[in-house]
Amino acid sequence: MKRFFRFFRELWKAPAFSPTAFVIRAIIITVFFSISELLGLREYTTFLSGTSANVNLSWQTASLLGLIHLFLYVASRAHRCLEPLERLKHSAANSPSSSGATCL
Amino acid sequence: MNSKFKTLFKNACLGFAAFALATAIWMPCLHLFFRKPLSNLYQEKGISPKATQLAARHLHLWTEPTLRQAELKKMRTSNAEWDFMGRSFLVWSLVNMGLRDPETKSRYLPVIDQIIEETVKIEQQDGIYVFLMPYAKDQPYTVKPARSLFIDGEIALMMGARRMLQEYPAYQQPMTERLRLIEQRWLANPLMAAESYPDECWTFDHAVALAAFKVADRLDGTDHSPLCQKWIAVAREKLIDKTTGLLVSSYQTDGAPLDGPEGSTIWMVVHCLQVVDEPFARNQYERARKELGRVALGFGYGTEWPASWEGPRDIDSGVVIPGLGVSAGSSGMAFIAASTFRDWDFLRALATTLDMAAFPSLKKGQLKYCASNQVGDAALLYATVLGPLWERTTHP
Repeated sequence: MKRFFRFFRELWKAPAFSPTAFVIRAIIITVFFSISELLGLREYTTFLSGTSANVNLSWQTASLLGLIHLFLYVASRAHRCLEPLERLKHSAANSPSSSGATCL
Repeated sequence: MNSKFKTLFKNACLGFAAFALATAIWMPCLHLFFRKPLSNLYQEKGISPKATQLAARHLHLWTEPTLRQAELKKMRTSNAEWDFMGRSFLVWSLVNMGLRDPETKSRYLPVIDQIIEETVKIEQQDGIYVFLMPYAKDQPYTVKPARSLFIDGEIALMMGARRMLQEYPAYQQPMTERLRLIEQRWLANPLMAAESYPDECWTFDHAVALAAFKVADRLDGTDHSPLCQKWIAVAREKLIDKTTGLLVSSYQTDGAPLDGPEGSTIWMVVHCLQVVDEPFARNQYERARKELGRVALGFGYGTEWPASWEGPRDIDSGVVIPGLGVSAGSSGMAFIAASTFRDWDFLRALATTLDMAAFPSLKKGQLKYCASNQVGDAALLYATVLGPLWERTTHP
């Protein structure tokens, strides 16, 4: 258990532009996106057509829920592109003087 | 300290360079993950898989009253017109599907008749305002008694389309009567303008009515060609935006312009004009494609306004994404025009955007797009099956 927490702490403390940090963010986004899917927020993206998904909610609230799903969706797609290239960048920058980022 | 700063600076530069490179590589490739064969969306013969799935969802809605009411309630909260237009697009779609695959006719005809009869019944019981936005009651119609070309034109075309699939004598007289009233109003106005809303005339509705006249000519042996050509001549002279050469969207009964060219209108207008004056319709399509159609990084979309005209964001345009100017309303209707004029590259690019950004949801063989609504999906369905009805109208 202790080892797990240490591993998790190392992951969490990884430099912002390191491959580890990107993987962590990818996992976080995936988790949030999955939760959004499970909660059915996908339905609320109907605000894009000017329709409210839930007549019991105000237009603003329904749109906000749709917007949250939209952002998570875009983030989940956009983030995928960064990981391999960040890995390359990290290899180039991984000199002894630079910070010792943890590679997964 | 200096060395630490240099390292930080180097890392930051590398980070941003990697970010820029990743974006430059990823963005042009993104569409490849969503791009599917065009036959998935539209087929010259038969019915595409997407059309089958979209139709399955709509047929399910029309056989499950509770589900339908829930969908309609959502749309009517925003726009009562959509309830009506969703019916029209579905009827026109089912007719085209029946013409494409005659064996399915017996399945579609009862639904088509149910939609038409229910729509007419609602109109008779509650009046035209039930399918119009609330501002229709703000002032009286200029021409009395109050009638909306929006409703008369689409119902006439629904009835005509149904009769094209299989003759149904009960619709002949009401269809002829609606068209007679439209003709009467057109001829009484120097601009051949009929109101959809009080002192508000829409090119969209005139184009639908023109198509209904052509269908009636084919069915009943009448000849409305002079009337239609006269309308085209007036439109060429009075309703063209000088900068873009596109037809304007709306105007008052005296010809005073209200809205300039709009994507949510012109794409449907060119589709309907195809059966009236093909060269003019094609010319309008090409102009609209240039002014309002966009393909960026493999994704196609429609803007609501040309660069030379900025209108207000409204219920027709839907949400407009700032910067790109992507309009849900225009993009949806662009499918219809691209299908009509067989602009496959644009249609494929639009379909790629649809699969990426419209949140498709396929359950039990029924497809819907979460970012859309019932009328949007019905318009998409129409774009995936259109063709045979117009073909039969122009080439008996």
